[in-house]
Amino acid sequence: MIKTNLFDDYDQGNEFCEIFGPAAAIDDASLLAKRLSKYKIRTLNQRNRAAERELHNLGITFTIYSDAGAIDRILPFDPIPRQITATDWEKLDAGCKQRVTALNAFLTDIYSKQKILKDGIVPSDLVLKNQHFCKEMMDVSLVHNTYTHISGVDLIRDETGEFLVLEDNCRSPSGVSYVIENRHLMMRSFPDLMEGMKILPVSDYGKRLRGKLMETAPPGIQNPQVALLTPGVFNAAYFEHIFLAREMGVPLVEGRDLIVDDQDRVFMKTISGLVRIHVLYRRIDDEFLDPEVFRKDSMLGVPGVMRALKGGKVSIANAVGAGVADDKAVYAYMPRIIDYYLGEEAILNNVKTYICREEDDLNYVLDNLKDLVVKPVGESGGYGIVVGPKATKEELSAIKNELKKKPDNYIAQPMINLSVCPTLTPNGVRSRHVDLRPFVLTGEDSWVLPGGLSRVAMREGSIIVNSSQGGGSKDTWVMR
Amino acid sequence: MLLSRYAENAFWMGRYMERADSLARLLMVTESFAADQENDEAWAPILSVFYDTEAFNERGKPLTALNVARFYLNDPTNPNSVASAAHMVKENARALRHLISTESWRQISIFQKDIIALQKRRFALSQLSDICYQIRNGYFSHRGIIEATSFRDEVWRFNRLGAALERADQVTRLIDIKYFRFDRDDDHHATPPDVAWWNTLLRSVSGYHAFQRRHSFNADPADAAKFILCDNHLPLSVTSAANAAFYQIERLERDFNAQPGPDVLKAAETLQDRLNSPPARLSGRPLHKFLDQVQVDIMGLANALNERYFSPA
Repeated sequence: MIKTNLFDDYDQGNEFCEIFGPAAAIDDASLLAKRLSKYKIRTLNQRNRAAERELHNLGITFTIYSDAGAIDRILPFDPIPRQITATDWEKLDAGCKQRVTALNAFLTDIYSKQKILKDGIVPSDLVLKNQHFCKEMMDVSLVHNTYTHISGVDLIRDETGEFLVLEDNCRSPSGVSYVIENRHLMMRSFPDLMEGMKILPVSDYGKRLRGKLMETAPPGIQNPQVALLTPGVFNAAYFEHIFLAREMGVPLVEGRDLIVDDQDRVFMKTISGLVRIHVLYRRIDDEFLDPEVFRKDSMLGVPGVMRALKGGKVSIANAVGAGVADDKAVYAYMPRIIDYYLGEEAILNNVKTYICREEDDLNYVLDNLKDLVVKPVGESGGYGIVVGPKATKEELSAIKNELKKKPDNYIAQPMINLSVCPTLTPNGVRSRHVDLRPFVLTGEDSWVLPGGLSRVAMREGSIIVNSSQGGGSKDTWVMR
Repeated sequence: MLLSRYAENAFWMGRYMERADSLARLLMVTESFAADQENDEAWAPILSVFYDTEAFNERGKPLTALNVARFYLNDPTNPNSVASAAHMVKENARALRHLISTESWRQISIFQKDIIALQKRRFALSQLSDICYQIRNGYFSHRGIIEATSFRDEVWRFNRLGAALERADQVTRLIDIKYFRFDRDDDHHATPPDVAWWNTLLRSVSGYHAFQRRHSFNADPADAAKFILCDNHLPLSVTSAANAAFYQIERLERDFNAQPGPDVLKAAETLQDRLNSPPARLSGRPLHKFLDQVQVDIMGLANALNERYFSPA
C-alpha cells in the first residue's frame, strides 16, 4: 500500500507558508508539519465536521437577523493551525506594544495641545476634519492617558516572511472570542496533534482584560465595578459580548439598564436597587453612546454618560474619539508618529502606502492602478476595496473617476501577496491566504495576547479574509 | 447585583420551558382519552381553557384532532404553542448566555432545533404521543441539566420561581378541561368526567401509582382532584408548585438582599390561603370556580413580581 501524505498535493506557490516557511527554502521538519502529514484527509474532514457542529450547539456564532427570523452562523473554522515561532513572537509582541503606545500618545496629544499638528508632522485637517475626531473629548483627561484600551493590529506577511502592519483598530476590535474558542475546539478535537506541543496559552484573556480595565478606573476607588455595554441580542457580535462578560465575570448591560444621576454617576438597575459602575467597556459606536450629545435618536446609548466621563465619574473603553487614530489616512503617518513620540524606529513596518491627498502619490496611483489596492479611508470590514490586478476594466475606470473627484477619501498600497497556510478545502489540503490580528490590552501599560486571530480567505486566490466576506479562522499557535 | 432585565429573562425562561412540557402533557392526555371517542369533540375544550377558540377559528381550519394538535404543537404564529414556547426559551436564554451554564445553553439550542424540525414535519395523529414524549424528554434533560450545572445565584432563583408559577397555573388548566363547562349553573351538558379520565390525568402528572398507594380502593374522583391540586408530596401538584415559588422568593430575600416588598408578600399570602382552604367538595361548579380563583391569584403574584423586580424605577 502506498503511504499517503496529507501534503502530497499541497503547493504554496511563491508565497511564504506559515507551516513550511519561504518558498525558496521549504522546511517540513517542524513537529507540527510532521504530525499533520500523518493525518488522513478523511479523519481531518470528520473531526472538522464534528468541530463545526459543536460550534453550532455551543452557539459560538454570529447572528444574522432577517424577516424569516434569527439565523445563527458560525465563523468557518479550519482545523489546520497556524504556527508562530518564539523568535517571531518576541518581535511581534514588542512591535504591537510600541505601536499602541504611540497611538495612545498621539490621541492624548491631539485631544490636548495638538503639538504634532503644530509641528506639521501630520496634516491638521486629516485629524480635525476626520469623521471620528470628537470635539467633545478636547481637554478631557483620561486615566493613564489610555484611549485605546483594546487594540487590534492587523498584520500580513510578505514573501520573505516579514510581518507588515496593514491597519490599526482602535474602535472595539472584535474577534478575540474566536481566538479562545478556536483553541478550546482544537483541544477537544485534536488532542493527539497538540500533545506535548509547547504552545503559549490564551485562556487568561478575560482576567487580563478585566485587570487592565480596572487599572483605568477613576482614581480612589477600592474595587471598581466594570460592566460591558452591548447594543443587545440583535448585534451580530453579541456572542462575543456574552463571551467577554462571562470570561471577565462582569455584568453585560444595555443602555436601558443604565442611568446617570444628577451627580453624573452611572448606575445599573438591579433587583436590589441601583449599583454604581466605574468602568464601561462599550461595544457600541461613538455616535450611539449618548443621545444627550451625539445621535438624539439612539435607543442603544445612555443619556448623560458623556457628562459622567467628563466629570471623571466613569471611564469608557475605548475612549470616545479613539477612532481617529485607526483611520487609514492616519495610518500612513504611523512610522513618523512613532518616531515623534517615542524617538524610536517602528519595530513593525507599514505596508508602503500612497496618500492620494498628496499630488505626487495621487499621480503615481492613477498611473499604476492595475498594480495597486485602493482603499477608502474611514471604512471597515473590507468594504469598498478595489484590488487592481483582479479588477475589471469597468471597476478600474470607476475608481479612477472617484479618485480624481475625492482623492482625500483614498489611500493605495502595492499588491502584497499575503502569506498562505495549508487549509482544508472540499478538494483536499490547499494553500489559502491568511492574516493575523493580535489583540493588545492597555491600562497602565500594555499586554499582548499570544497569537491573535488568524483569518483565512476560504476561496482560492482570494486575499479578502473578513468574516463579513466569507472568511474563516484558524487556531494560532505561538510556540514557547 | 443581578440586572432586573436578566431577572425577567430567567423568570420567563423558566415559565416557557414549563409551558412546553405542560402543553405536551395536555395533548397526551387529550389524545389518549379521545382515542376511543368517535368525533373530534374531545379537542374543543383545550381551546376553551386557554381562551384560544377565536384564535383557532381565525386560521380557518376545521376543528379536528390533528388541527388542534398542530395548533398547539408546531404553529409558530400561536403564542401558546410548544414551538413558540421553545422559541421564547431560546430567546430568553440568549440574553442570559453569559449567566447560564454552557451545558444548559447547548441543551436549549438542541431542544429548539428539534422543535423547528418538527415544524417542518406534517405529522399524523398516530405519531402525536411519540412527539409529545420527545418534547417531554427534552424538558426532562433540561431540568436535569439546570439542576446539575446551574450556579445557585439569583438567576437560578428567578428561573425556578418562573417555572414553579407556570407549573401551578398549567395544572389548574389541565383539570379545568373537564370542568370549565360548569361555569354556568344551568348547563345540563356538563357531565363530570369518569374514573378513566382521572386516571389519565393522574398519569400525566406522574401521580397515578402514588395515588393508588395513598387512597382507598374505591377512591372518589374528588379525591383525585384534591390529590393533584393540594398534595404537597406530589411534585406536580399546585400546592407543591406554589410552595416552590414561595421558597424561591424567601431565598431571594435571605441570600441576595432582594426584598420582595409588601405587594409580593400579600399576593403570595392570598395564593397560599386559597390553596390551604379548598372547598369541601372538589367537584362540579365549586371545583371550576376554585381553579379560576387560583389562576387569578397566580396572575396577581406574577404581576406583583413584575412590578417589584422587573420594572425598576
